[in-house]
Amino acid sequence: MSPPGFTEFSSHQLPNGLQLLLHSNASAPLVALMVMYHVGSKNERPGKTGFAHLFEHIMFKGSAHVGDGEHFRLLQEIGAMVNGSTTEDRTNYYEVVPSAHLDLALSLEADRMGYLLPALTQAKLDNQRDVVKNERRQSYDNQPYGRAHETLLAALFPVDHPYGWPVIGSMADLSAASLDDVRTFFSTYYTPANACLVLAGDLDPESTLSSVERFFAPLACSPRPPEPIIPAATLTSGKRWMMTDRVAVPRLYMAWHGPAINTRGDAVLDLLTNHLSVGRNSRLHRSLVYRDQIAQSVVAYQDGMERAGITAITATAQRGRGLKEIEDAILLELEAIARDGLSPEEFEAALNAAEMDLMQGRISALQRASGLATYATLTGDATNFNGSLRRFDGIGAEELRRCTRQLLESPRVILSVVPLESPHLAAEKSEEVL
Amino acid sequence: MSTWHLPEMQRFHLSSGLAVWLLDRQDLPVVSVTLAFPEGANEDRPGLQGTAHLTGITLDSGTVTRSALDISGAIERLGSSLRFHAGHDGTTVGLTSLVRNFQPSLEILGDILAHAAFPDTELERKRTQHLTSIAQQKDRASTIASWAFHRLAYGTSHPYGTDVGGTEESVRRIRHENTAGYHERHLTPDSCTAIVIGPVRESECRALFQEILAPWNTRRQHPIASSAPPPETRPGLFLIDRPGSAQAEIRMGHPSLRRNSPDFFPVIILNRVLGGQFSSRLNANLRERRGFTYGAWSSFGLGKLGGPFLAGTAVNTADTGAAIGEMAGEIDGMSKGNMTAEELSFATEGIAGNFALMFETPAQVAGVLQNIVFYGLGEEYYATYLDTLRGVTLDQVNIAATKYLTTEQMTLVVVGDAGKIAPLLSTRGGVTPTGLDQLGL
Repeated sequence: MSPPGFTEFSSHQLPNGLQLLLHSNASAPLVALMVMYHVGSKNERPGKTGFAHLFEHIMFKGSAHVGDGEHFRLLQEIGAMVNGSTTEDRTNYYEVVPSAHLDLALSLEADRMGYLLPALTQAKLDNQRDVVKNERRQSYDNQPYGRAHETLLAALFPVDHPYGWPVIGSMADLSAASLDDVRTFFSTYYTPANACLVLAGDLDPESTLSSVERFFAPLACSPRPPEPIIPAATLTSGKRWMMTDRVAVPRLYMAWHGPAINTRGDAVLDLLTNHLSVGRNSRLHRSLVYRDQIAQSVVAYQDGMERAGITAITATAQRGRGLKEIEDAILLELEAIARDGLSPEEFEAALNAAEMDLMQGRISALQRASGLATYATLTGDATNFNGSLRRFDGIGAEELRRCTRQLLESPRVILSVVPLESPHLAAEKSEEVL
Repeated sequence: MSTWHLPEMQRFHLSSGLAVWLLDRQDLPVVSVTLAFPEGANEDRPGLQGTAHLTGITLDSGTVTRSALDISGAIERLGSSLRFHAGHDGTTVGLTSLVRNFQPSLEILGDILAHAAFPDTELERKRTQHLTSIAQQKDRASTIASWAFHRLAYGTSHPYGTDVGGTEESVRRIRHENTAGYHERHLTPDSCTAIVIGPVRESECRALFQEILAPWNTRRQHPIASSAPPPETRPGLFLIDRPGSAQAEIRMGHPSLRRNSPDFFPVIILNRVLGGQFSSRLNANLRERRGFTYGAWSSFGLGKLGGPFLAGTAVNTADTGAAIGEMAGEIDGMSKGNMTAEELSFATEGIAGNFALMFETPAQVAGVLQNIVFYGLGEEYYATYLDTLRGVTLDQVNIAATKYLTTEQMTLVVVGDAGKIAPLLSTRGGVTPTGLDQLGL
């Protein structure tokens, strides 16, 4: 019997290079379909930031045999869930459909994979450019702390580093995107050989395989795009930045370069960040939020991307509190872990919480499709998704202690975001940016 | 491929009156318990809004025998999690755990339900955090717009005029006896339905619940919400200044029908066409045709007391006037009963297809089933849902549209850079400047 959370799947490749993964599970009468293209914002270049995401929007505006608005209309008529998303590393498109309607979703994905350009117009590009500019305004510029993440990226990575700009891009670059850019981007990256198609749910593998072949095999074969050049990024010295924002209370960001996805370091830091901030008894929550009440909330996370990673602790101050004492309190706790390590109870809690995260990330067909597609695309091997069930094996409390020591000894970025009227609440010796 | 049917549940009662609905799902690696209570912030006393919420967030902060840190320490060591949510109409308390840790996790939940103590020091801690949280929520233009709309559309005396979390003023007034009293009166087993989903057999579930939850045996007391006053609506155009805003947040609507109205089905169909999905009239116009926004939507709040019809969007500041005109135009068209047969079939089949997708994960299943508890829909409600939906006629929808939509008496709120927005609204007649302070929020 498979261990809990295990996802059985079969792997296929079409002659044109399209990778296909099938996971059959009839616990609900639906199928999740995901197409993941191995392209994201790290394939962009300076002056063209935000393009991968803008392109994702164009993919919903119709293709040679699908009119503008038809993609959503056809899928919403059958009650499907429909969306797409773009990250630094990949762009995905997905539909969750009642099982009987799988062919409709397949035909729509095949049409835009093969025949987007004949339907492309300047008006569609201009419309989605306006939509994306409003997405940037709504989701970043008009949100509290909404510009902090891109500021953190700018502090961590050199100018022009592929991981150094935000996925949403800059307004000026969005304005500059042209139809030629769209055409070149499509021809370069939206090829069967650069895509992974995953179907998960209530499906018959044999007949599904022939459906996929019917829709996708006719698509032309073209070479895989070149891998982007990603220079190694390190901080040679710490940076201390501050910015003001329309916020009620200050927030501190403490960030390091972290390990990439599917590495042992990624797993170690997942455990450590769980131990730091998940639950009332976690180290940082217990001291900063519960005991001393200097922070309103604290979150530690490890974000392992394809070829870079970010490890960060963010702490939002309690009203009337400043970020100097918050920074001091975080460092004090990290010092304690680096010196004394975790108790067996603390280590057990971190392991259990991490195991729960693994299980909770595989409940729905869409989650399993996404996990398979992500590991196939970012690590080159979908079996790593199941392998990740054992990613904590062999890691002990001592490794978490050493990892904490290493964080303390590594250069880091300290970013203070403070209320417009209270710049004095920033961490010490911070240089104002923006 | 399987044909779809509602998941089959086992239902039983414990001697305390607790109803248990069990969905034995051997394929899942975790057990999820959702305790659904049919009362929420509607029960908050006037001036003490936020009581249900503060009760909930303090519920796991100590029992007669366990401290706050004892509780979280034990729960975290098991890798389990507790959650709490108060709405206006209902409340949920949830537990999720790995199968092997289900029993010890349930024991802690049982202790909390029976013996939550609301210690003063813990209540103060939560109050401080919640007050800061209220201030933080006001950082968001979308929250300001929503809170202002509800206050203007319902007034200060109606439960829906105040957010579930209360106001800074009301939260400062809440005392120990209010939270302890809320727990005693409203979080009772005889009003509660436990929705249990995971690899648990009925006999095992029954035995565990009977034994572990035995000390939780309080009795429900009569709810006050049935005597809530009618809304005091202020129609008009209200402008809240937020200098330097990157966008304008727009809300417009009015109080409307209750969840248990016989017009529920026609209304969800008309809303799907007007603003309830990507291909809706509002989104197709404001986003896909004009590029004013990342999204435009509408909703009916329904609820026990008649939540609002509400349409909203966030637009580039320069487009504020035009966007309001387009939204009002779409609402007006729909209110005149201009929906077509194609739109009816498109919306009905879409809702029906989507319904079958709503029973996959424990969170989804519980999210649907708890409505039965909150609104007294009857245990068989979802068994006939699709037939009732598909029986709705175009006439019924268009009549419902004329009955439940109006642009005459709307409350319209805009939050953004008033200096730039006010000139764009000059053709719309009187604009009343306001702010959360003036509205008592």
